[in-house]
Amino acid sequence: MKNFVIALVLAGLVVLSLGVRPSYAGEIDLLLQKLVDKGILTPGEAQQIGTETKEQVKQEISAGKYSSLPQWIQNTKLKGDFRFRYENGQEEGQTQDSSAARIRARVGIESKINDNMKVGIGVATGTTSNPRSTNVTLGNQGTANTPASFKSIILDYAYGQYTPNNNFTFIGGKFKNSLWQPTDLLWDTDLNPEGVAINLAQKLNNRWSFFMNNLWFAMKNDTRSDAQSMMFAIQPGVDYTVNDKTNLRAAMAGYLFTGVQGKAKFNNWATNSLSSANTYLYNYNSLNPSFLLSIKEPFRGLVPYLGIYGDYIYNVSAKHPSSYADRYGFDAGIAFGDEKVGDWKQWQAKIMYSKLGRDSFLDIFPDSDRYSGKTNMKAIEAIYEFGLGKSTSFVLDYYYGTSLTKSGPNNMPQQVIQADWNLKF
Amino acid sequence: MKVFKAAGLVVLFLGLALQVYAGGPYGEDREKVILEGSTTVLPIAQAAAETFMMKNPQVDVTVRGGGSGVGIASLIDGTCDIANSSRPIKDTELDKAVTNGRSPKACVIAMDGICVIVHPSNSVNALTMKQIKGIYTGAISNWSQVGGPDKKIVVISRDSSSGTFEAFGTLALNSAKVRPDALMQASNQAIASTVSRTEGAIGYVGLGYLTPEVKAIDVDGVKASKETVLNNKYALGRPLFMYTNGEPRDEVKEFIDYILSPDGQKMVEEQGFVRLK
Repeated sequence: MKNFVIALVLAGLVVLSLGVRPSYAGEIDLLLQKLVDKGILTPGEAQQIGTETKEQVKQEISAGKYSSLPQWIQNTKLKGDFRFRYENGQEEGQTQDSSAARIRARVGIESKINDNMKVGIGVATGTTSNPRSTNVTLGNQGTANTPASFKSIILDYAYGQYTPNNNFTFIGGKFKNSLWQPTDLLWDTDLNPEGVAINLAQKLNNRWSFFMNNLWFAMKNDTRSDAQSMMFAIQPGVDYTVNDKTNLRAAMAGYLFTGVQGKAKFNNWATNSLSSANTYLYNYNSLNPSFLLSIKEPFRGLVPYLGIYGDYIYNVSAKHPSSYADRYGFDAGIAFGDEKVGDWKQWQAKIMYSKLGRDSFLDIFPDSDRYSGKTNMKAIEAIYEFGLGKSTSFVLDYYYGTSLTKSGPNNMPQQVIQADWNLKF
Repeated sequence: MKVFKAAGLVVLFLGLALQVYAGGPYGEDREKVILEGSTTVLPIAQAAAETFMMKNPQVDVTVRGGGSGVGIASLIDGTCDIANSSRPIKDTELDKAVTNGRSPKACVIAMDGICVIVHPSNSVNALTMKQIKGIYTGAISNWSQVGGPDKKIVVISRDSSSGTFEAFGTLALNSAKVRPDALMQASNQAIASTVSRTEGAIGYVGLGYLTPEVKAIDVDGVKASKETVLNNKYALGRPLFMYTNGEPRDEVKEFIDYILSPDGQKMVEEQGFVRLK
């Protein structure tokens, strides 16, 4: 009871001191020391009371109990990023390089409605016609001839999320891809699916965790003509903690599509197989195993982190006359350096080899920077990222891609180098 | 549409299976208390669990390691009842906890003091924190640079997965990296043993692992002892925590009360840590 009363008094003093003098906590320690000197508390009791009181106040400040801000502001987070890019592209057979400076800006809010629900809304630079890029080019773009033109802002994402417990999450709207992908071979990271995602997760024991991501993606919806195209994806996976430094994540995604085969192509430069009427010749139901092996301080701490990752994709619905080479794709790569680049001098290097058969996956999804986002290609990508300070970094990204078709004017090798300055908030 | 129905049924089935696995109506009758986290606190938690279960056979106490961060993450996720931690909870962890509707409540169960030790023949009796950092990061490599004999310093450290390594790195090195040629040892005993056999060696161990075969040196002019650790005068002392979600209740409260009891605190001391009472 004696200790409880002392702790209560100290907590009150610390709380009252918030915003008054930062050195007050030190004076609490002096007060406790006096109580020890007078024999009222033992040194251990003083240590326990002092530390627990500070921890309690820290927790209550974090919970917003002592904040003067309105509750709705405390429940809302603002986040975003800006990227300045200089890009140079070369294509065999072309007499001139293509160079451009580009910017990307994204801003979003995430607001907690209650303990289980939140809403997220974000806008970004970009155009409504290209869901795989939020870049806008500085200066004249294409045939435009207006210096310093205004850049358009589009709705990047808008979703509601319901999380009744730690095992279940429901998301509806337009949201960040909920399927786990170790690389952007199949999914450009700018592409935000529209529909519903249900994520299940369960920690099984100290080493094993299980998850299952489910996605219903409304790709095209026209209720008048009933011309709907949809994707349904289910991705069970596991996390396995090998030891304190090594973790393995592996998953198997299965994709089902409706309203694709026999329907009009989604973009003008499709590389998937088409009929003479420009409709998709095949469906794209496919299997996609993925893995990521993460090792901290490998090779006796030579580097802080090593990641080994890979994907495989096989289109199970493309039949004759498509060949096996057209139906599969894969990538494999390594990342080493710091696990994340978030501060000064942190760095990471990545190298990846990838190949995508012509009909291995629907060609509107892969990373738009790798051989212009086409299928029917093989490519090497090398990335180096260096931290310039907290939440800002410099990135060099190099791609060399070639078509799996050896000839033709649209099948020339391409190389692209991008230099990025990233800033996050 | 048949495909969608089938997939929906698969999802429903797996969801139910997960719920059942998570411990639904088919769970055992014994009350369960799950502890997870710091490897430093692990021996205290294991010894306490053993004795507590003997006294309370209706309670099943499970103790897991993984590190302080893992334990706190599990507490936030709701997969453990007590997070063992050899450091205070971080602000980012608190924010995540609050976002998830959790309110971590700290309970200090013991104190840990890290003693810097050398071979008994070494004439150096005291070092400053700056000198210790210099030795462990490679700026100082000979004992003569800190007033000792002209002898190469053999740096011995705990392996990076240990809580003691983490605490030493934070308290003594300001999170700077240990020199790459340091000899990494898997336990406090291994460090004490290696230092006792190597004349130029320096190492660090928990206060309870001091032996007559090694010499503990003063840090910033303060000798490591239970008293100097408890009154925060010794720079390499730290509290050890058990975090619960809100005020501990039922079996969780009984378990923590046991650790704070005279019997529990005696056991804390037997494990090489500084008792609070």
